[in-house]
Amino acid sequence: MTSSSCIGSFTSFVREATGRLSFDRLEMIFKEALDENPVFAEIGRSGALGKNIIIILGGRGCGKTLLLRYLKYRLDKEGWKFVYMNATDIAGLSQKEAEKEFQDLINKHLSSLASDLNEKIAIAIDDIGEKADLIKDALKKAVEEVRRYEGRLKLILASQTERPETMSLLESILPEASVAHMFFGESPAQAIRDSFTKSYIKGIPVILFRGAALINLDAYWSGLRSLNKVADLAEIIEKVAEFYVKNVKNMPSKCIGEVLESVKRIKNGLAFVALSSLPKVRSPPGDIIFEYKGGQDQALNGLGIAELIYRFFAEHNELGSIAESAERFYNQLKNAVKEDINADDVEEVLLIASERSKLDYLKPLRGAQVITLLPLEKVQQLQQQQMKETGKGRKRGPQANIIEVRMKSGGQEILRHIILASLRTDKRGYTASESVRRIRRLVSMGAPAEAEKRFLVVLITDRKQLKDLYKAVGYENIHRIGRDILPIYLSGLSETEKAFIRFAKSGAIPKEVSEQIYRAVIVTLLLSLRDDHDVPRLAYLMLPSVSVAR
Amino acid sequence: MEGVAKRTVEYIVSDPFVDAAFVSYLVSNQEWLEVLTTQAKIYSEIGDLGEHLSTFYVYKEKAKSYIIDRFKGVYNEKLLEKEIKRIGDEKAKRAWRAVMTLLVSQQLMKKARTGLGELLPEEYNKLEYIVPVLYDLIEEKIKQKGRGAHNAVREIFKKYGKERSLNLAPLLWWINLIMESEAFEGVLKYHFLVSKGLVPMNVIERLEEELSNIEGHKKDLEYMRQEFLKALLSRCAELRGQYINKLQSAILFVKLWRVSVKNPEAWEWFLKKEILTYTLPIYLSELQSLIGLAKIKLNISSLILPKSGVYSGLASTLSTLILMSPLFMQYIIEAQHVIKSGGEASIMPITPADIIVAIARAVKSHGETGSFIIDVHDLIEDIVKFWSEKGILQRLEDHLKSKITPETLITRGTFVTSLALIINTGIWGVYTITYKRPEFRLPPRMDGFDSIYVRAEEFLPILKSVWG
Repeated sequence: MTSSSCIGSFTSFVREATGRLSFDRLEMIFKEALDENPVFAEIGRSGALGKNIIIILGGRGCGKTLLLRYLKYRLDKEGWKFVYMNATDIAGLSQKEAEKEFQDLINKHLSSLASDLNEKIAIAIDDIGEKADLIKDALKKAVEEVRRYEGRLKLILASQTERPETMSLLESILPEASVAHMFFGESPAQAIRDSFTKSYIKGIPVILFRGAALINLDAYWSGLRSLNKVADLAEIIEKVAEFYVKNVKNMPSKCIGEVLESVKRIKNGLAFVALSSLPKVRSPPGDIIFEYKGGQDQALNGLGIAELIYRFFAEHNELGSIAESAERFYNQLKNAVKEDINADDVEEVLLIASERSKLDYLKPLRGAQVITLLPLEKVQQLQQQQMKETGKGRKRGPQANIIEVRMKSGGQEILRHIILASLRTDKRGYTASESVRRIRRLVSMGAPAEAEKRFLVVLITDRKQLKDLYKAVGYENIHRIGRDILPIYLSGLSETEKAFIRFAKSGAIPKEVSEQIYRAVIVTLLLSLRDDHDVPRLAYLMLPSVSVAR
Repeated sequence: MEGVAKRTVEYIVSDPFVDAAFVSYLVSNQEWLEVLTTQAKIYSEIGDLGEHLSTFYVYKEKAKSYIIDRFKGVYNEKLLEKEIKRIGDEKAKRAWRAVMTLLVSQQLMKKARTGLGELLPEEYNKLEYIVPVLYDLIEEKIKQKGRGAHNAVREIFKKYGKERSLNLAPLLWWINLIMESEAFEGVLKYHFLVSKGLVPMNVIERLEEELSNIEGHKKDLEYMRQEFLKALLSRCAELRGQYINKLQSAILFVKLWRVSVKNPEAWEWFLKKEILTYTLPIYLSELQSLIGLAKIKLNISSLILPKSGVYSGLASTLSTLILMSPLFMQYIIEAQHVIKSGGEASIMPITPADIIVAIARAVKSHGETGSFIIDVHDLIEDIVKFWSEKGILQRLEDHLKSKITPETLITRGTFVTSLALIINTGIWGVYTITYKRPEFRLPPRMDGFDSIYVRAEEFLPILKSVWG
């Protein structure tokens, strides 16, 4: 096999594998090196497979069906009979018909469980979110059956995070099963929801409950969304490439080595490019972040990485030069001198990155009059009030750097304004009274207002300064902290991220990769900049939303 | 203008059609409604009504011009402008609060995943449902100068039919209660006095007796009693010599939008058999006395005022549940009336407020710290006792045409749904527990229980924060 035919076979395989394949087809083409897939390996190690209910969640392209294929492989080895069904097969049926169809399927297997005590059955339902409401009673009953045949009946449910029905599955259908507490513990709805919400932001892909496991495939990748983890991500990209290449039929080992060598050479650069993809926020309710491979968008998930590898080989010249440049930049960054940064640096970089990342939904407004965010009637009222108090009218009020977020989600336009402010410290380490006064002024003029989608983000160097924020907003507004007044700490930034901020601020970013690098700035910083509850609230506000209609 | 009576039919301040227009103008703007929906969530979490929002300010300013334009045909324009300038801000604030709290009540039922279709109709959850109704009501009222308010209401009520009217009722009651909270405060004062048994029947009898000594006077004790009660209501509502029908206009939707009453314009039933506005002051006064409030506050506005402090969100939730309770009770009565005429009631109302009162009474006897367990049977028995003490029991039995006992309430009462509303909306300190056997099931998970576990030091501060 020549070098180009090696690459040709590999790219054809990856192209097919990244298309929408049925479970049967996936089973047919992926037979090798399943234990070597890094995602599967981590899930295999987690203990999730031993649970009786396994919920698999993830955004589009996260590899749910491929994971089911792996589960079949693993469970087969342990003597389980694996039954796969796709919930979309019951499309077009009425609720009654769908319930019956599902119930019949379960009953068919239950009867074999009753007659043969050595029988073990794992029933996997793919894309359950799409039809969960339709078969909710049968699902609750199935949970009860799992309890009845504990150890011999496994229920595996896979659902897309972005689908609204997924939350219904997690918050009402499963928790409302009469034995739900036996699987998920006390307050099952709360337990499942909290675990799911936190899994991405904490980077915990597998959550084990009493008798169930929740696998959030996106959370696996979120653990790698950090500039400190570029090398780890690069390793994983290499392993993913290895997994794919080993599954190409009749691929000579020389060819395998050639493909892997090409990836290895530039893996850090590829990791950087992978990092420039944007995770999404589920809308509504907006407190779930996930990876989503939609259209031409990139994603940091199974499909996103596979497509990146495909593009690297299929469009080598274009992506190759970007990856090489990113690789060089990464090496510079790694070797950068350690130096501290302040709130102004972060504010500046957020503005620069909003502009240069060419994300058309973000618009930085530098030094904007905050009053212009308010309706005219309100402005007039504020001016009249000012006239009464000071005798001077028409003063335009404070200026601030603002990031305008304007996007469409589910056919609706979302417009929000993020007003940036900071609590500055003086030379002695005390909070400057001017910055306290400024925040007080912004709050009193009604600049932040959650319901009107205006948020005041206060960048804070140290947790000790939170009390100064309390002072600034006043007692009557303390309860708004964490809602429309968001304290964001810089203390969560790593040395690499700080170096990155200095590079970005100084403009020392190679032009050819500027878009990718600034996107990576946004993504990594937004996930590292957290509030006093360790929640990346700024990410919720600035990342794009995805909403899928029912 | 010659030949046209100068006296306005309804005075602008207490015209529920003007109120309805303030509300309909607010809810028909999609952008504002989105802001309100988010703010409603905020209110139930931190108790902030959002009256500092620019949206509120813009709405307030625009609503005034809208109202003037809408009602200039039926009111003297100059007078209307003057009055709206005077009261417009307050009316807009009430409309804002009415819609906000209405949305909160919807969100609470959604959060609790129970109650709709039982304590309130499914339609209660759809605010868009009310917009054309308010529009119809206003249209009916303004299509002819001098048209009586009650005629307009009756006309629309008739047009919609009993079933649709029943489904709309709680929405209209809510709006009316909050928009005309001052007028209702008077009504609540009256019912409060009646519930305390302070109406001196012997004096009335003596007066009638005395009058019967006068030649030509025909003794009619019932007539005397009713007029006396009307006079008492007039005093409570500060009518100061004005016609009582003026009060009727202010409380129009609550009083006239009734399926269970044959002639709602009459006063007799309202004075003696009313449930909705009768139970509210009883709940309020009992809870306030249990938490040791020096003076009774019967104002609905103070119940929904923005809360502050640690318990602000939970207190907002609790106050909404208390305010919803009389609506639950009234709706169940009305629904029974529509579903079946005659025969025993299949559903008997126990509201969240009944449970809150019963728990607060238990806290009082067990002490304000620590925890205790109450058997559900004992709790329901206490509710029946409370109803009996306050005169609710007899009124309910009259309406439901059934004897109410703890046993009938256990089999037919809405206890578990109301308890689920308290527990599932996150009120601290109230939990279900199985002591002997799981006789009851708490929706939506249908967890079994037979007793309530109360942690007084968790529950009481929330209750105190409702008026704190």
